[in-house]
Amino acid sequence: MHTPRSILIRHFISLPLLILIAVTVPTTASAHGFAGKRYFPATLTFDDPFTQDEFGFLYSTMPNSRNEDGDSVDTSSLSVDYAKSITPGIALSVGTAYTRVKSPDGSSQHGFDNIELGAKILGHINEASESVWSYGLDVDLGGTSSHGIGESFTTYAPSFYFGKGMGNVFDSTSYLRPLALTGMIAVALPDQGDQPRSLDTSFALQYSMSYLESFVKDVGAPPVLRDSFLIVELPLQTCLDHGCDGDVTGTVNPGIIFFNHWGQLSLEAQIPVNDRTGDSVGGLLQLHFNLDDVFPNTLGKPIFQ
Amino acid sequence: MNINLPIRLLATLVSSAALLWSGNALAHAFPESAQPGVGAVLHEAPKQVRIRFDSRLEDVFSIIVVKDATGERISGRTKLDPDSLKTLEVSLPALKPGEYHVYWTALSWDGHRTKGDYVFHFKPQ
Repeated sequence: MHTPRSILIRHFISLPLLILIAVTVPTTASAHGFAGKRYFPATLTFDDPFTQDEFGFLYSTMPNSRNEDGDSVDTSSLSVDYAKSITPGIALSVGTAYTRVKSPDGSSQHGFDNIELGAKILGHINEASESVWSYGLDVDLGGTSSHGIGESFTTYAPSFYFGKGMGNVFDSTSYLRPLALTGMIAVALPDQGDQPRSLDTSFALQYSMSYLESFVKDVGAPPVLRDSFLIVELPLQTCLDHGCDGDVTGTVNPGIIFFNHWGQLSLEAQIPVNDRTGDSVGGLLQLHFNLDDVFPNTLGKPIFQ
Repeated sequence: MNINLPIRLLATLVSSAALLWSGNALAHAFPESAQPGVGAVLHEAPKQVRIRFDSRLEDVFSIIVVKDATGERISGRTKLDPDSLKTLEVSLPALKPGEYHVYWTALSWDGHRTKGDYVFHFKPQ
């Protein structure tokens, strides 16, 4: 039997190997969410393509969502994530969530979800085209949650991340230049053969008011809106096998992100894309800190420059 | 632990964030205002370009360069306002009607670099 402690130790032992592999890959120096003059904020439903020092909280509520058995449940969680840059192009992360699941009969379960570990490697940043891509591996450590909350099996998810700003696509005075698209494509692979694999695809279309005001046209937006992004996220999960082939669940999340030097405060609605996901609108509230701005000379810089 | 704890924790975090939001910051420097304005169409020729940032800047590595439609640099040496350390300025020669491109690079006090560019037009009436 694997205890949470033994599982943690086993996976942390593999981390140095992951780092060794990572440092052999050529990388480009990272810059806190920037590709040229384009600033990409931290999205709420998936990781951004950058390898930076960050710390964040995310509160999620989703009434009348469907659980794995198709039952309608109210789900809420408060998750916390921390990412640490090892070099300018390599970052490791750890996170978990405190989750509450309430059934229609009034019974509820609550406790900590599984611990998640991640490693990400920056592939390339192209300043002129405002583009960036990276790749990594996320591991959901089965058996590290409170009883009845998280999965008992471990899931590995090799992931690809990208971001592309439209600043070089349209004419210099076009109001479409502040648009950008970011995304993540991952395959979730459980370590138990009787569990379904899934394809996780998440995209975020974002409109930067700051980009509009600073680089395209000063429209006189008030300061609070000037430092904001209008955003729509689309996190989708597609089952790949074990009888649920092709079944899609997910949400459409319109929202707004306010940012400043320290980080960002973000709000999004969660609208189910189909009945399989749920039939009520939920919400997300994010508080995110860019540690390289908050602690530029200590916690916020890579261990190895 | 019950569900109220996460909610109370979240409320505390949001309150803390509100305090942080109002604090004085270093970090990346973003432009607060620019003269001529971003995307502006001017009927009188400007004599300088001034950009005010929201963080204090390092003098040597913070610059503005203005180029005409042919890509030729026309601006002089960049000056940093010695009092606020937040405003960059360059002087311009007498401008001909046309499109002008402003390029800036800002290095904040803690070493973060940002950069950007924008266009303004001079169309005398």
